[in-house]
Amino acid sequence: MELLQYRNLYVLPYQPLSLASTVFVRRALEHIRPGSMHDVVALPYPVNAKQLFMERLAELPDHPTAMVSEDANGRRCLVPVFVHEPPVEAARFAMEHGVEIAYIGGHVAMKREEEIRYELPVEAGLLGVIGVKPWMDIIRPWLREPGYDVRDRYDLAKMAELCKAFDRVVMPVHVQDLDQLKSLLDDLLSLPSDRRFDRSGQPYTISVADPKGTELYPHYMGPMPGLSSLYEEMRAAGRAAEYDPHTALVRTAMNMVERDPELRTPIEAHRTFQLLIDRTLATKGVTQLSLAEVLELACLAYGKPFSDRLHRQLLTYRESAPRVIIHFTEEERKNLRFDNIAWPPHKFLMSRLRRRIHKLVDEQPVLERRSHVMRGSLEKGIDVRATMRAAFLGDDRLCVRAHDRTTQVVDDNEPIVMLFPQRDLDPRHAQFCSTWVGQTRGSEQYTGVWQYCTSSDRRVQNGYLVRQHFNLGMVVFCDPLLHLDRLKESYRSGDEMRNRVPIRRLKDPVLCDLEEKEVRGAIGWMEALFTGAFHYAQKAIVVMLPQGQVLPAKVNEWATRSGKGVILVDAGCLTNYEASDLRYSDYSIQGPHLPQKDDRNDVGYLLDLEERFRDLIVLGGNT
Amino acid sequence: MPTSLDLPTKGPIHDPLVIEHQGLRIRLAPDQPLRPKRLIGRTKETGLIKLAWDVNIATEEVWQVLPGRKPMSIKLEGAPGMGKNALIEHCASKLQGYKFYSIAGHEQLEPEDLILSIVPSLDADKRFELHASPLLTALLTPRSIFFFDEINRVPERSLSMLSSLLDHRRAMYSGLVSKWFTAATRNPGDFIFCAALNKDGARALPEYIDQRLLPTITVGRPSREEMMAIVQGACATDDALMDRFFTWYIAKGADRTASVRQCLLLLEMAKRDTETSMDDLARSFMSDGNP
Repeated sequence: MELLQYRNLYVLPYQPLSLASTVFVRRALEHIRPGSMHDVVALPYPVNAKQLFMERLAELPDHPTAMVSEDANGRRCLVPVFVHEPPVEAARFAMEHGVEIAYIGGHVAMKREEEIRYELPVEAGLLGVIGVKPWMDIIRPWLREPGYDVRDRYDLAKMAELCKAFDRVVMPVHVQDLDQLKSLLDDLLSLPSDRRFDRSGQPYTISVADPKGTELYPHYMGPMPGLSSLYEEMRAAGRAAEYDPHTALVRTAMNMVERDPELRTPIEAHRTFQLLIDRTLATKGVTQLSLAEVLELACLAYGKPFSDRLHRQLLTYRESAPRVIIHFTEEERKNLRFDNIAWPPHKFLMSRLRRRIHKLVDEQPVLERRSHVMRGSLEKGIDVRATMRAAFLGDDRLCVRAHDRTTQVVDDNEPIVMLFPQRDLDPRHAQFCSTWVGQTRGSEQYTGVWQYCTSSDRRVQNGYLVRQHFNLGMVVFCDPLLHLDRLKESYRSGDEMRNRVPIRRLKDPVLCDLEEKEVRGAIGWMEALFTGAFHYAQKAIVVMLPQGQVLPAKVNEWATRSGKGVILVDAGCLTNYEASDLRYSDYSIQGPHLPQKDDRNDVGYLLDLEERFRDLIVLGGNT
Repeated sequence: MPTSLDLPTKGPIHDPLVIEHQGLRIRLAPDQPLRPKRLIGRTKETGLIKLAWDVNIATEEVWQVLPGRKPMSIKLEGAPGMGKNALIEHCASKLQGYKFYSIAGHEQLEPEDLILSIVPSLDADKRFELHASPLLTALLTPRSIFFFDEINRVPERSLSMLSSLLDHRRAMYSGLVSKWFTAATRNPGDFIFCAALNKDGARALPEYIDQRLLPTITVGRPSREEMMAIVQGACATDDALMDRFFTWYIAKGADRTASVRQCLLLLEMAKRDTETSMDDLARSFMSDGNP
């Protein structure tokens, strides 16, 4: 990137709300090194914005703000005080180095009441907060319509004065203003120029897209808050000029892995991510990737779950608590009721894994030892006892041992017990809870999943409490995602279902009794879970243990006591992400909800819940 | 009785598939001829494969791996019948001058099946022959693509052979002949490895293999429009059959459940049997008529 110079005027072309541009401005300033007394940084903001702008600048990086104003003639002005806004970087640099700041923007009235403070300053999050149309109204001043006049935007007379009064004037200029500005500079500055306006090094190729095209909006807003955070960290360490937006993406991913060892992401994935970014930039011939493109590449390199987490990370600015507004219409608001709802995607995950585990059990080969008369192959060796037995009966042929692979068929309705690693959880702080299925109001309510977990109330926002459950163990009695009618179809009769699925946890005598015993200390939580599972099993329970862990010896005792079997499934059937999600993505949302439909798992209701609360979980949940 | 395997290493070679390598006479596996056929949809996936292989697009029909560029070892993930093989074969056919080799993974696949196996010779004056697997053949052949289908069905002890192949070493060790086999040329673009797997009902790949097979490209269900184009390709002139099929397809919500393979099979059956309803035909190979 090169800066443009017109005698003692240094023009720093920038693309607004662009971190890449901000870094360029920073590097250019470090190259020019404007000093106190003799140099000035000219900002493209109206002079009456000075007081408000300086106040807000002092609040950076913690509280990004945007100010918008419109005068009587319909001229509008936007002053985004974001860390990724290039003129803001110029102003911050000037303040830190004692360089004077001048305001040469068009004179649009800027009043305190017109200030807008955004707690989540970027892209999808901001659009979610204020909506697309208001946001477009705000950024329209930056989207230069054809036929605009830069004289409305810059006080060129003031610029000429500055050029005479100071040794050097450094001015960030909107990249789309450059052409018009160039033709005006000769006339307005009326200075003997020993160096023509140099356009040879124009650093940007700007395609002026239709401002009305919705595709443009997120691209125009460019940066991701997570990257701005990273830039701010480097800035604080005095390494702002070294910041590279594309390396920063990989750095963000690496930071996530450092913070959360559960992710266990290989170095190779980071390398692949970096390569994919480089190749995409080269193939498309662009300098910046959109958030959607970044997430797609992350999905290729790391997989979908990691990409989802990266999405959260990239939308998180300085780990601040984002405010998420849950939208309800006026009519809906009248009907809101307090409720505690399990997060539907986790139900979906449980349902999917339950099916997968049962399928695995059915496909799991069972080796049966048998022996037969040798037919040419020694197979697993001579069966001495069988050979001797045959010889005794007059048959002098050799018998050999063999293994037959057969598969076992286990009823798909047998309960599944899952145990999780306990390394960072304290069972003393854990308690029982459940996810129930069936009629919302009525007697047919069943416990789908019964779990023993610790909980953490992560955020309280907008009257909602997002509770995250960290599971130590759980019993899956039935598919927690099914509508009651479909659930009933899985059993031969209503009686069979009642025998194999407990009714709602706090009403079921067996579960209540076990929980009460556990609270008294008469039995442990694991014994309670297993005993409950054995009680509702027909012939056997399926147990999935963490990798590398063996079945506790006591389980065999409990199995013998109940007269039922235990079938082990290797946790290797789950990917790291699935295992991690199973354990850590179990949320419930307490707060005002729309009244439930007749069935707890009404598909429309679950989809609506996910749609409304996705941001709350993504932004307010565990990162 | 001989105490060693008495491997033949001398005498003239008449067969083009037989090579001399590190003093061994090895019979290579034949390559799999690819007939380029039109791929409907899958533009996103094809684009991602181009990106991962870092190919230079001479024309839409001819891709070139530039010298010195290293194609990534991709893995395709998706349910059965989604067209993973077709996608790879389509992309492989565009790489001019590349030979295509593949293996279908299964639980009984032994390490020697992936490198070098010793088999009795049909030739009267030889006792044994060394047969290179399609993977070793691809490794020893400049400009080749190897496709490992159903890779997660293979036992881990066999997969472990791949660890040295998929990293910077680009080599495999055969315990049978105690030799390392390295890639035919130093140009990383001369050997492309790719794999496909279906996660449901099979084990996850061991982590050390999984992380060597990146990026992961998911091959999902085709959209309704893509399915329509596929079906049109299969029965272009039969409007009545198309109507029958799509009535069933929409009524059953098959766009969310049926694979392309199942739909094409159903169409093929419906072509031959015009009396039986689509529902009944579907029931004959899909549980409850629902895919």
